[in-house]
Amino acid sequence: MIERHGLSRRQFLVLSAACGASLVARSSIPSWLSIPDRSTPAERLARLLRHRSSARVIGAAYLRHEPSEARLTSLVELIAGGLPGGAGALRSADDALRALLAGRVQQDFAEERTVCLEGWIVSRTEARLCGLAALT
Amino acid sequence: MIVDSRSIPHGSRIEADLCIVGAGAAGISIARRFAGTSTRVVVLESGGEAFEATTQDLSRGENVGLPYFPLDTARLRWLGGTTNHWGGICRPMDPEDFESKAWIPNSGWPIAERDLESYYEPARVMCGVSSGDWGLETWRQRDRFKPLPVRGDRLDTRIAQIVSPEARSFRITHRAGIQAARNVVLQCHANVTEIETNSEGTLATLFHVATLDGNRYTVAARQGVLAAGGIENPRILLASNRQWHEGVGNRNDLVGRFFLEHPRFVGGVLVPFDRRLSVGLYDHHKVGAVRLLGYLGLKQATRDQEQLVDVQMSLHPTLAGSFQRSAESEDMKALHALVPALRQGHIHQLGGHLARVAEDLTSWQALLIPGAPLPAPFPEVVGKLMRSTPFEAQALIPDLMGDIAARGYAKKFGAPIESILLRTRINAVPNPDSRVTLGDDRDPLGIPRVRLDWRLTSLDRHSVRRSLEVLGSEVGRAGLGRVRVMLDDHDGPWPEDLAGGWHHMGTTRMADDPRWGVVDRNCRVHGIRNLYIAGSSVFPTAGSGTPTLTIVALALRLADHLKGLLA
Amino acid sequence: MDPGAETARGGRKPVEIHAAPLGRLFAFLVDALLLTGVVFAFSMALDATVGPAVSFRAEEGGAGNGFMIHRDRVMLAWILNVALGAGYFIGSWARRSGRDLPSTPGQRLLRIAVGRTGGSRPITLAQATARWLLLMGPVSLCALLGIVAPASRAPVALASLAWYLILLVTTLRSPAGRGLHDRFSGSIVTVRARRAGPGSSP
Repeated sequence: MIERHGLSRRQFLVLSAACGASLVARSSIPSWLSIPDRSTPAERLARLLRHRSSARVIGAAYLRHEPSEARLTSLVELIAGGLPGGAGALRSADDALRALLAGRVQQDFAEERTVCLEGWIVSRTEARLCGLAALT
Repeated sequence: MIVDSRSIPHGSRIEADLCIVGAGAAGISIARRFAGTSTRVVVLESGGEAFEATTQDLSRGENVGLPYFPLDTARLRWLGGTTNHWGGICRPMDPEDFESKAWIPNSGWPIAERDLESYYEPARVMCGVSSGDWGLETWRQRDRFKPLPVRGDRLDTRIAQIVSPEARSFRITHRAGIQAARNVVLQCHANVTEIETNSEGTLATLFHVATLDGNRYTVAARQGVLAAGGIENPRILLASNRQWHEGVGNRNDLVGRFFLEHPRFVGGVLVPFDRRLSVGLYDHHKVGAVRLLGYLGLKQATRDQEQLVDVQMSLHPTLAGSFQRSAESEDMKALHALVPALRQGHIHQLGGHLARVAEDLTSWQALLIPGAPLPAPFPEVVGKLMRSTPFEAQALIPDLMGDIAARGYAKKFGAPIESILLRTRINAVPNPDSRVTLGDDRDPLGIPRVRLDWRLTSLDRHSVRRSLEVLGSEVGRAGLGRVRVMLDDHDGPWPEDLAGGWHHMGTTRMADDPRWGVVDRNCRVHGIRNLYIAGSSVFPTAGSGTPTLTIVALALRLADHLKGLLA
Repeated sequence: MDPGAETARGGRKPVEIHAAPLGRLFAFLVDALLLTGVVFAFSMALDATVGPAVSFRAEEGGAGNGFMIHRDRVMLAWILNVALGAGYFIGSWARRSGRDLPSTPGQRLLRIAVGRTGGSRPITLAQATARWLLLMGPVSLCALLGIVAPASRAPVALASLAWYLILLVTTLRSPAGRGLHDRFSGSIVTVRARRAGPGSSP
């Protein structure tokens, strides 16, 4: 029965790594050692997901579900809008940003800000992050 | 005492104070309550003291609604009734099961949980349930497994008990008590073909009995109880249509309607982030001598707020790799079946079991070096083992050692979980269109066979979906994993694995108003002064527990009511 | 009548003291362990030269349950390993050197030896082969069938189990400790005679 649907369990296991573990994991490199980051907010956010190929599959499903959000700027705005500090939060170091996003995902679930992608109950924030991955 | 009705003289009329139709959980409970009193009790049991195919065939019928079990397998017609293959899972009704909910049509009982409360304890003893404790908190202290670590404001973990296999059959546990009771005569092979009433239809005057070998006689009793099960009870009432074309007790066309089951199917899947997530509480396990089984459900406040029926979610982990293979191993099942088969002397089954066991014992050879006197794996397997991650190795080891070793390993150390199937079970909405009627075919005794039209409602479907969505949100919030809901919210077909819980309820439902129920709060058929019904056919709603304990509690309550009348 | 029994009880000629079953079993385990090591080493060599007999299907994050068995290589491994086993046991039992009765390394450790009944002579090559076939044949056959004919392995495994039970029972019941394999091959397992060594007391 499960196999009839497009997204497999394995992809969602990877999603767990992409959207759960990645967001919570702390970088082993101290932030003062890192090279100044000149990438766009969309690229930075998408880069937080380690398993890009899986994220893209989920992201594509989300964008089919919410075609009105299928623009980088909308997705970045919507994601940043949910973070404490708004767009300013996107200038945080990677670990801090991951922690903020993980908190937001948890809050999404607590407040049922979820979306059903081919049956999977996914937080809006993680779905939008995957959407970014699909567009970048 | 137990007698064979085939030896009762043809055409005789037996007088009794109380006539009980059916010797299953309900009938035996009432009979035993009367044992040793001065009341003359006759129990009419369709079957004998062992399974007989010709008798069982009397239960055959037609399914015209949702896919359902063949009706001749859904009930057993012999002493002890369906307890002879009962799964033994017990939980009493919750107080709210008796309440009426505005958004659930036809919900609510005319009695409350407090009316049954004092009968649950003797019912527990009758059924062989080990403990009278049903609260999670009591067991949480003693259980090595813990509930799923989700927040408790919307989800509940509930505990059911499982009666040990040797104590499940009422035939085994209560036969001696019936046999020893001098005032109770249990007549085997006695099929009730008709209930005759007085000309006003207000008094049940005669129970017409027939045996498959052609014997016929009648039983006249001051009080009568139908306790033949959720399909046979309405069948007997509907088939008693010689005097009343609509059948007995059916002036409001309610007999056979509101057929309820506990529909079950896999409604979703939970993929845990941690493959070692502890879900042992939700599997059959023991705490001391008590066998327990946990399951999840939405809290009453959440259901009330969202206007849902209760959906119980049980967790069934599918294990990684070979652990799953060993968990589903037919060979292991055969190995387990071999010992009881040997003990009980079922020689004819031994061949099949032996073959399977031999297969199982040799399955590990597939990865051993042929010719080595001791089990030594191929070098590649050793290499793979040494290079593999712990999870892979755990899945690889059982391949080397076979299903037996895998079982032992999983039991001792736990097995990595691939995903957890969420099997949902609905406290379904009472639906008048879900019903038992008489079909065109007749059985060898000339009684029309039944036609079952099982139906569910869109609220049932919506409740499953919403319950799983709430679980998905709570699981995501707790960072445990993600949930997939596998049932859509449209009125499409139900999942292919939809099945019942072998529970037949609602077909002679209880209500104070005769327009809404077949029996009153004392289980007396509306309009007939001396005819009562016992068993789950009187349940107006299916309830969130399992029916057996409540069937017995209600039967004991009915017995006390009848004692008052017969005194 | 068990021909070894009389001699064991003290016939006129050479006195044979038959070995205790537990010691024999332990000796067999030592031999099996040694031989398994040798077989494993040869299998590694075979793996390196002709390729692996078992390979794993590449599965993403595979849980290790996708095996591919190469039957031709398994067959080759079987032939080689059975030959090794036969050489080890038959060679040990039929060896003729010195005054002592021959024994396998495991038996030597437990100070037991295999000889012909009714005398203190070693068994012949044919007797040693028969003894090996009766002892090791079923397990070797099962191991092969486990790979090449999975359908037949269950009855053969059950039959083997029954055969080993018969060997065990007949060995335990025989006064001279001669199971069916000993009776059919005309052998007896005896306790090795203690010899006075250079440094021993007279």
